[in-house]
Amino acid sequence: MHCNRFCWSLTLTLISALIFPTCSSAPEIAAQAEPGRIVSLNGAITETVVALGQGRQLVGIDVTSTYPEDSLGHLPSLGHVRQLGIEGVLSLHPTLVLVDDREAKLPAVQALRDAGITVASLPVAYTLEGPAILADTLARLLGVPDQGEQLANRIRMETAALPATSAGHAKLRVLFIYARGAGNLQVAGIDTPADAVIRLAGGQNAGDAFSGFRPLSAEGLLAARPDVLLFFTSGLASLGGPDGVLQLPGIAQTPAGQNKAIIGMDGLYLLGFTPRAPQAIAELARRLEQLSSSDNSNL
Amino acid sequence: MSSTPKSSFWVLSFAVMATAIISLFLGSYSLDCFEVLRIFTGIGGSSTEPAAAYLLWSVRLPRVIMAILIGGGLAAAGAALQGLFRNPLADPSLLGISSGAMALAALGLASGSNIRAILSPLGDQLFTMALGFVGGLLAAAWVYRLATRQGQTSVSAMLLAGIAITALAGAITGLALYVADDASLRDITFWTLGSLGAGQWRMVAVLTPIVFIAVGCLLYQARTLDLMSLGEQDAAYAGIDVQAAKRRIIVLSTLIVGACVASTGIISFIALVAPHLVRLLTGAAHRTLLPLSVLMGACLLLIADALARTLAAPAELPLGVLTALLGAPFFLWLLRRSFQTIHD
Repeated sequence: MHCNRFCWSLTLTLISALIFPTCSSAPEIAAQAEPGRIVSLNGAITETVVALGQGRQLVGIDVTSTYPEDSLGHLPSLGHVRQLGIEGVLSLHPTLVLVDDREAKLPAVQALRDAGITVASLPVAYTLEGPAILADTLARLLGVPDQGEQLANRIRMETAALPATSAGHAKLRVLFIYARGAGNLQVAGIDTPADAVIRLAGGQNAGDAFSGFRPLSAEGLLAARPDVLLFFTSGLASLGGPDGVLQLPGIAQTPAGQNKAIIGMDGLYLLGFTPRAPQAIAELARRLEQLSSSDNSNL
Repeated sequence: MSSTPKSSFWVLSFAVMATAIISLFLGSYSLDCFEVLRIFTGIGGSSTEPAAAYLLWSVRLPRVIMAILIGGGLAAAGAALQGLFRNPLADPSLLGISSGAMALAALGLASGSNIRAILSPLGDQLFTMALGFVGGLLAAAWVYRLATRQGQTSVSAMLLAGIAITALAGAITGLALYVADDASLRDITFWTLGSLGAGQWRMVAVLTPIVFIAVGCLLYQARTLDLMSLGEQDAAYAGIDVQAAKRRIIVLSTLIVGACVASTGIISFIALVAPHLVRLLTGAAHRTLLPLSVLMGACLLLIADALARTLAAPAELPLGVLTALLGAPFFLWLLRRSFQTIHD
């Protein structure tokens, strides 16, 4: 039976695929003097490239690369790295493609390597050390270690200058809501960039009962008892601003809803762990501080 | 508006060849015609750019072949199912095949980090394909069993069971979306929209035998389908084992659709629209309808994919969105037209 033969060949292919993994996970980062044409497929990496003064080498970016707008506005966008068209990347004749470590094993990224393109996978860690490490690694890759050291030092200084998380009063419970219109709301649990940023800014993640993202429910919202709701600016806009948020079921009954404690910040700035991460965290900490003091004055 | 099947056959064959060849020249990577010819023939020395050779041999060529295989396969499955159910709206998605494949593949993608981390990228891809394939087969087998009583398969029961299974599969997909992390979510969305972007030789290697054998077998069912379109009793009087024929046609169609959905995600409307276009051209006799649908489907998908690759270059549009955008208005026109014929 042809069906049988097919099953056999499929099994064989599967087995051989499992036995001979084709991936080479170790990032091959060698110092390169003149990279020339760079395609960056991650917002934090793109921003770091520009911060290192190498923005003019960029020839293509992905959809998450939004800052700084002046240096990127004219560049062709290749969509999301998980929906990457190989031909689109090749058409830009890149000499170097930069990806986030987490996305280095995607089939499309593998295919780029097969096409003879140098692909460098870089660490984008969701920690305070992350942006500085990225700046260092990237600078060495691009052959500008001095700028890298400068940038990394600047980031480390800004990090060190962050106000110590105030232990005096109870931490605010912050819930990050990823919104794409009222029908599509996800809340961040632990093991998310949002969780890391909230804790770094001196808050407590109100969605600490689960990991990853979960759809928002009115009941879950009441159980989480958030003092503050945190949004991307774009997400807040998709709900019709703070007034739209207060219309969502369950919101008005939370402490955050009652105090209208709603914060919107740019997505890449807030959660990208870009060179601006210390600023973003400081800003969030400041806004949380304001909310908690106005809270106290209300009492 | 009808023409002879023979001339249609030649015209469509030519159209498939032409669109396939033009597709090889189209894309966001600009290559002049001579460069393309030089790479394919090897005449005039090898190409100056290694990326260009890779692009043609490993990206565009497998993609064009996949478009032909999947377009042709889906159209043949659609034509056969429409004939079998004597229902011009019959479509693989109606019988739960597509959504069954989708559901299991989505579960596999969402189980994500745990299982898939062990597999290499190739193993990962084949794992998803195999799951989609099994999901399609399971759904079809279940629908078939639900609709069969005492050796008789009721067509209306089958359509109803298809709706129920589609709902169930939709729930499973929803569950997968619920537990999926952000990365898997992207993969699942990608999959529901359909794309030939992941087309690679190993997929062609898996798809080719399935599509060729299944479509070949379907072509042999033309006479059976013609007789079945007269009604099952008449077909039985004419000496056809109706139950066996139904089973054969459903299994063959599922094989094609399961393999296609598993390799590229859900590509809507080709299975529905291609056979209708052919009926407009040459009429409903399955001896001509089936092979011409294969050509028509291949041609339509080649055009849709060429548009998907070039309209938003260097990014790509999801193919499923494009086929739906092109297919749905046509389908509405078709509905209107058939209502008018009824009322006239």
